[in-house]
Amino acid sequence: MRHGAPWKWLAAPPCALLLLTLLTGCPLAENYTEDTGPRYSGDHRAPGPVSAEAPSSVTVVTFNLAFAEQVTEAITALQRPPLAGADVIAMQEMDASAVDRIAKELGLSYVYYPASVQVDDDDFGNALLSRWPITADWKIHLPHDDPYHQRRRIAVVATLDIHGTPVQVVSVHNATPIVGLGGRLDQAETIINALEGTGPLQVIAGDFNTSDPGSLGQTVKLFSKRGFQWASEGVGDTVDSVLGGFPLDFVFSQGLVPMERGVDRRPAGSDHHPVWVRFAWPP
Amino acid sequence: MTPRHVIRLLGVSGLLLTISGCLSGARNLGAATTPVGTTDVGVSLNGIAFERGRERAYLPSPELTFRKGAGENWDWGGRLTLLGLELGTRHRLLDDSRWTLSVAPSAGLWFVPVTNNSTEPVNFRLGAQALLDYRLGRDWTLTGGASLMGSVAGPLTAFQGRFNGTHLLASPGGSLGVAFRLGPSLELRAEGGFELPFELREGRRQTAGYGGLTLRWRRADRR
Repeated sequence: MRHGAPWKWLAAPPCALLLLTLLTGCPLAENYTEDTGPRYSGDHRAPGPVSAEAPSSVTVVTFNLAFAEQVTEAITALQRPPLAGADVIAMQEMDASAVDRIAKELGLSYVYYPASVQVDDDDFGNALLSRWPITADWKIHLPHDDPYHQRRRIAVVATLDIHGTPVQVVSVHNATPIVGLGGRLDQAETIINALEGTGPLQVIAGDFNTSDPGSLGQTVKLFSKRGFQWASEGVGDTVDSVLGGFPLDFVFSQGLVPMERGVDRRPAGSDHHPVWVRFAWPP
Repeated sequence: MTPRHVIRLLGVSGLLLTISGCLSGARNLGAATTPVGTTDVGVSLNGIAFERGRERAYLPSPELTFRKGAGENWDWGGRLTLLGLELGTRHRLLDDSRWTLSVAPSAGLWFVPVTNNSTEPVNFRLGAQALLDYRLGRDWTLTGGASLMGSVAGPLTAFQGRFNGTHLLASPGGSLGVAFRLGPSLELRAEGGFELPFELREGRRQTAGYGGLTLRWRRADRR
């Protein structure tokens, strides 16, 4: 140490600590940690029974609407083929007013649970919109909050009454890869475990954030091991980013036979593209 | 391969490289301390094996190492990985014509941007390694190592005094290396090892392993 400069050495550790604190001074996420809420629901379907005849197919769509900013574009996309007339829409990154507006425009019932509050003070959560009656719903807290903001992720489960047959449908939004693949597999397994014993017909759809190498394969392997079929297999990339396309959005099913599947890559108000699967009905 | 694929490959490679160094238990050290008035500088390329998701993954982990002679029986030094630094001393306890026994306590701080099952990007490790050299001949030395490291691994919010998600780990480990003297001041060392991390409340985590090569040269300090 040179003579006359010890103050610099003494000041270095506190300065480094201050710098580190500023760098890591991300505000903590405000999570909704209650088991039952907040919960929003509504029914904008036309009055009367859904249909006297049993449907010949059931279409499930999953769509992450990027902080629910471009709702008008999303509604336009959901009103044109092949998404038009979907029986169930699983949505992520939603807030309550956006979900209600989409349900109203499309004539659907819905249930929505926010997981946390975003930096713009809007809620951030998952929704299920349905052409069929929602007879029960709940949310699942997913393990492993993110290590930077401690943001919580959830899944939303609804029991749909499709022409007298109960079907469990889940809208999922797993953590981003900063949580690590093991943590995200734990999140997926938490959902599978929560559905055990709830009925033979199950659909788990949403954004699984599988952008990192190997995560798609291990996620599919986990669902396959637990008796689920990758119903949206082969649809390709579902997100455009500066690093290229990524397959992040999936539909997994149990007890239902997928007939057709695809991604609608036309502009829909999000960096994610809606993924759809048409299942044969009756199962 | 399109430009998009190249950009994606570069992005993914960068991500993977940044997660590697902090997982490595490699120290690539022998028991013989660096003489006073000299400094050893080394370049290591380790391959590490670790749990990724529910499968095993392998990554390269480059490191820079240095040791500086501080006394007749001890030196100090460290190793610099892509996102971490470990500093420590090495103390020679026993020495004869064939055998040398040393102990090397160390402390390290790593940033782990992507973790696996737990959310713990900040890793502080404190522990020690016992090293035993057996000289096979004039140029060959065999080194066995046993280590015990304690780690505090937590989220970035630990710096704000919020420790939710922090884990305490104890990691016993072992290593075996062989060094070959290429010249009077040049050494090539190969080493392999493993760590068996235990989370103090939740139990065993998956074993991590490594293998690597280090080229180390010695130079006299400036007077």
